[in-house]
This record gives sequence, C-alpha cells and structure tokens, in this order.
Amino acid sequence: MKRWLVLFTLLSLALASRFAGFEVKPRGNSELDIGTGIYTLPTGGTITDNRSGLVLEARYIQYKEGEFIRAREATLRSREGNFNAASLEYQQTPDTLQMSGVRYSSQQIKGLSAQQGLLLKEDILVLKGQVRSSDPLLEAHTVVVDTQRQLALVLGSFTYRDGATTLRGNRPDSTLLLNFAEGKVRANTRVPPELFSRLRPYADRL
Amino acid sequence: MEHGQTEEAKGRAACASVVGALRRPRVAGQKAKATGQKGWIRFLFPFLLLTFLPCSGLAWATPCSEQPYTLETPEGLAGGGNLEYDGEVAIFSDGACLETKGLTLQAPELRYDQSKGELNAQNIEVQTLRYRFFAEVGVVREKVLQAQGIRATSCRCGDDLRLFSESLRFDTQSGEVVLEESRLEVYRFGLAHFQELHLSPNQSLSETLGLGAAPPVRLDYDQGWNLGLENFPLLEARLSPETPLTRLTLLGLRLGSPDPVLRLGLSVREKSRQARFELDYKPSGVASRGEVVEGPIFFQHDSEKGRYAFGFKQALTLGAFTLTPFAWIAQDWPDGSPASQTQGLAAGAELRYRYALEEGPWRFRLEPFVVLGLYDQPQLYLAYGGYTEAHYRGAFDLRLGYAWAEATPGRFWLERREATQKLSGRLQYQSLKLEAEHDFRKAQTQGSLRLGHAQDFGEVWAQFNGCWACVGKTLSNGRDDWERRELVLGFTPRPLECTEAISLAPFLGYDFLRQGVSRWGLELRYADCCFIWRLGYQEIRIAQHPDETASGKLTFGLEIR
Repeated sequence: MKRWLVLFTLLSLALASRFAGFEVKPRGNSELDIGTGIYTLPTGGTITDNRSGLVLEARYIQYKEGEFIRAREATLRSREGNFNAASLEYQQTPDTLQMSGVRYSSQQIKGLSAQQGLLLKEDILVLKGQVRSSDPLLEAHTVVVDTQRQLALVLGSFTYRDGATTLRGNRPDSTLLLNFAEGKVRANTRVPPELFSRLRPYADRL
Repeated sequence: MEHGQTEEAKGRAACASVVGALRRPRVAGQKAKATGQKGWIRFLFPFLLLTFLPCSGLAWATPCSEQPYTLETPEGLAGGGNLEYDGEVAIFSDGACLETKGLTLQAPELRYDQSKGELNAQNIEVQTLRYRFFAEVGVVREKVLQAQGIRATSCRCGDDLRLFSESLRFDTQSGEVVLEESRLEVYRFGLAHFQELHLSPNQSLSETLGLGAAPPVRLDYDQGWNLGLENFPLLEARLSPETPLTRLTLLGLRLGSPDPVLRLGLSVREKSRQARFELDYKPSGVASRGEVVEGPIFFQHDSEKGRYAFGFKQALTLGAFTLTPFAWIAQDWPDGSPASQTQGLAAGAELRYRYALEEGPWRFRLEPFVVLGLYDQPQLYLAYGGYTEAHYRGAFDLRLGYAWAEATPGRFWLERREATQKLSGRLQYQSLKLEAEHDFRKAQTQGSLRLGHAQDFGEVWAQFNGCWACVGKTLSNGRDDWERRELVLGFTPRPLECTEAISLAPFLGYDFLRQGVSRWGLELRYADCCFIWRLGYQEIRIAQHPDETASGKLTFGLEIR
C-alpha cells in the first residue's frame, strides 16, 4: 500500500507549479482580440513556465495574460510526469487549474485517469468521476487530496489493489482517509468529523 | 459524526428481528392474546410460520463480501464496518469477518498483518454449514485456523448439544475440523470424551458420532410397549474415531403383553473385525443370536432358527471375476423346525462375474454367478443364475431388471441360493413413480404407482399398491401371500428448517377389495434449536401383507438437526 503515497504526493507536486510568468511559442498563427486582450492560437502551440519547468502543449490555446489559459487536447509536462487533458483551464485569480478527461502517467504511476480534475490554490486537488490507475490498480469515484497536510479523502465505492491484497469500499457512502505523513501510509475508514466537513465540500466544487 | 459504520449495524438488526420472530413464538403468542385473537390462531401460528415463511440463516450471517469494507487476502476475504491500516497491520472492526471456502468467521476485531500473512482475532464465532464454533482466541495462517478455548455446536440456536475442546485446527478451504481433547454435552450432561474428534463438512454430527439414521433410543407401542436403548453408541469409551465403536442394546419389547421380551445386546465393529451378540429373555425361554468376524474367519448363530456355523470365507478378485472359496462346519433347521436338523461340513466356492457398460444415459449391468459346494456326505450343491439390468437416466428414469437362479437342495443357509425368476421394472418421471415386479415361478405380479404434487410447504401424494394372482402363493418366509388393492393418500411436509417449528405428516389408506380403511397415521414433528422430536401414531385396520397385523403403533423419535 506504500504506492498510495507515491500516487498522490507526485500528483500534487506536479500540479502545484503555477503559470505565473510564461513564454509562448505558437505552432501557427497567433490571433489577438484587441478589444478583450485575449490571444488565440487556433492551431495550438507551447507555453513554458521557465521558473517551474512546466510545459503546456496543446492543439488549441486561448489565454489572457494575468487572467487565464484555456487549452484543448493539452499535454502538461513536468519533471515528475505528464498530464493529458481533453480540456484545461487555468485561472490566475483565484489560482485554480481545472481539467477534464485527465490522464497522468509517470515511472511510478501508470495510466491514472479521471473524468475531471481541479487544483485549488490552497493546495487541494480534486479528482472526480471514474478515478482510475492501472498500476497500482485504483478505482474510485472521488478523491480529494490535501497536499499540505498530506491527506487524501476517498469518497464513494473504491477498489485498491497492490500485490495480493485488494481493499474495497463497497458502499456508495464509503469513506477512506489516507494519511501520508512521516513517509508512511495510514488508512482509516473512520474520518474525524472536522476533517470530513473541511474536505468533503471540495468534492462538490467539480 | 463518523462515517461508514452504520449500514451494517442496521442490516444486522433487521436480520436479527426476523430470526427473533421465528425463534420466539411464545412472544408472538402473548401478543396475540393481548390483541384478543382466538386461541386456535395461536395454536396455528407455528404451522403458518412453517408453511409461509422461508427460514433465514443466522442473524449475523451477513455475507462478508457485503460488509462496507473488505480486504482480499491470501487467507480469504476479510471485512468489517470499519478499517484502520497503519502501513503493516489492517484492523477491521464493527462486524469484522473473514470468509473462506469452508467457513465464515466473525469477531469484534480482526487484525491482518500483511507482512506475516496472518489474521488474529479474539472472541471468535465461526459458522459453517453444519456447525457453529466459538473460540476465545484464534489465528489464521496458511489457510488454517488454529484456535483455543473452543465451544462447538450443531444447534441452530443455543447450545444444548455442544462440544467443549481445548483447541481446534480448521482447514479454512476444505472445512475439515479437528477438535483436540473435547467432551460432548447434552443439556449440560456429559456424554463422551474424545482425544481427537474429526468433524467433516460432509457428515452430520449424528454420522460423526456413529448414531446413524435410526435413533438409538426407542419408545413406541404396538403389541405392547417397546422401550429402551437400541444400538446405543457407547461414546464415553471411544477416545478417537479409530477406536472401535461399541453399541449397547437394552430393550424391552412388547412390554405389557403376554409375550414380553427383554433384549440385551452388544456390538463392536471396525474395519475387518466385528462382533455382535443379542440375548432375548422371553417367558418361553432364552434365545440368542450373534456373529463374530475376524478377517475371513467367522462364527454365526441364531438359536431360534437352529443355525450355528463356524467357517471361512474369502473373496478373491481378479478383474471382473470374484472367486469366493468357503468352508464351514454348520448346523441348520432347513424348514425352521428341530425335526429337520442337519449338521456337517461344507466346502466350495462361488464364482461371480461383473460386467458393466455405460454409454451416454444408458447403463447396462450383467452379473452371472455359479456356486459349487461339497459336503461330508455324498451330495453336491450347485446353484447358478444371475442378474441383468438396463438403466436409462435422462429426461426420465427407467430401470428394467431380470434376476434368475436355479439351485439343487442345499444343506445350510450359508450356501443356499433361492430359486428365482423375476422381472422387475421402475419408471420415474418427475413426481410419478411406477414400480412393478412379475415372479414367473409363482406367476404373480405386484406393483405400486405413486403420484406426488409438490408444493412449497410439502408434497401431497397418492400411492396405489397391488398384488395380482397372489392368493395362495407362498412367500420366502413361508407365509401365504394375499391379494391386494390399496390406495394410500398422504402429505409429506417439507423438512423442518426453522427453529421452533412444527409439521404434520398424515396418511390414510383404503382397501378396495375388502371395502374399508386399511391404515391411517399421523406424525407430529417439532424442531427446536438442536433436535427434531417426532411423535407418531399408525394404525393398520386391514392388514395388506402377511407380515402385517391389524394393530396400532405409537412411535417416538429424536434426531440431531
């Protein structure tokens, strides 16, 4: 079960980098709407954040400096691994990154996917809708990750398989709190009420 | 508020309430009184329960796979209402359970150590198809449960019949259990002690204890009271299953009649050895019968029939052939009276050939034999014959057989074969069953036709028994056979599955030849947590067979559930 640790900490680190100042390389034309200040790259291009090393490649990009980046069929490369998303929207205020059709893979994690993903400025990551990874095998409905406190809350029925051991939450109201502190994974289905009431609402933001 | 631990508790409470209703008809009865219902409704309540309510399993028998959280481990499926995992040890609580092929285990808390591959628990309750086990402490490792402080019972509820044991070894896959240093108690009365007792999932406790199908305690009335122990297993003397089981008979027969019998008997049996002895004390004298077998050597006697024999008999098998050489010194009363007494030596052999063929739904069997015997007199014994059978098992079941035998007069009952020429058949299709037999030597036919109508609560059936051209024919026991045409109607209730349930099994027969009720009977069965009690009365009003006499018979029976 130690790969729970890898799964969520790497995921969080990768998304924790922000596009505060970036460099744009269009693949073709770059169009500027002078009225709104919005740039459109209809044939896509690459956006690089030199400070964090984060690279966004997409078939279609729209952005407005200091406000947002929107992309379709996007790939987000980081040192820890690569994200693919059918669509992606980065809002600088509030500092959020929302994705749909998310896929993530790295050397440690294979084929992690979710229908929707949301990274909030308070270092909360929400994965929702058919959250899956093939190795280690994870299937869940919703996962809320608190990267600062190294906690993850799994909501709804879930399956996690590692080696010969398979853990399942069989009920739609199943809960599982994972604690990654001290380099060790602790899991508990009894979620302290204050933690539950703090993390559970994030799941509804998607 | 804590999450993920409430549904299981609700489910168990609901299940417990259903089972509680089934187990406590007295409470239901009190409620009926309070609401002013008639007494007969209260009387019928158990019947209604029996008829219309399907039995549920035990209250806690919620499948482990339906627990809120489960963990598939090499030892089985562990589950519970809550789970706590610290990186090495997973602790299930709130209805913790383990489910394997051979058992369902429950405990307040179950600890699974992933590195050791070991499950630990205290205050364990284990459920199998036949037994419930309670253990103070236990550990499951390499698919074996080792537990200490054991109480085991076959009872559906309570433990009026129970086994106490120091330790237990349970194969969680096969369900085979070994109890070490155990003692058997019935209503807190100690009955037996076992060094090592093997409980198999394929054997009932009755079979394991050697009680068999017939109850060892007899209480019935026909021509007088029949009361006592019949083949009662002396378990106290049996330390392990390998120890031969000794059975005691201490029986009063026809007590209160002019011809009472006191029967004393003892039997011991193991693989190739057995000894059986019975002594009857009657007003007319003492009679005895018995048999001692030690491998191929045997001694048999029956003082009432004037039969005594000491001899040798050994079967030698070579492929489909079996040759059984024999030799004995014997005495017999061939026609049953001392006047016909014959004594002497006999030696010979029986050769038997077995041929069987199976092709799809068809089976064919042929088994001819020949017996050749020599006596210490200038007499030769020769008997030959055989049996052939064709059997079809498909959409219906049809069996046709023919048995024949010819023989010269034999001196002793041991080598004698009865001359026979019989054609028999049986047809079974769903709930229809037809059986018929024609005896060519006696030119008589007898048969029966049974029709059943199965319902959820039991089977209503009708059976016609007939014997044609039977008048004046002599049976093998020397009695004259009778003509018969009898129709019997009856109801066989579904086997009792619930606790504190009652069933009734009535039947009524009519004799068409003599125009009257031939027989009737009623059996009341009551199931408590541990036993099924039977009380029945049968009356033969018009005897249908020379072996029957017009009389009533009260029977009492008890069997372990």
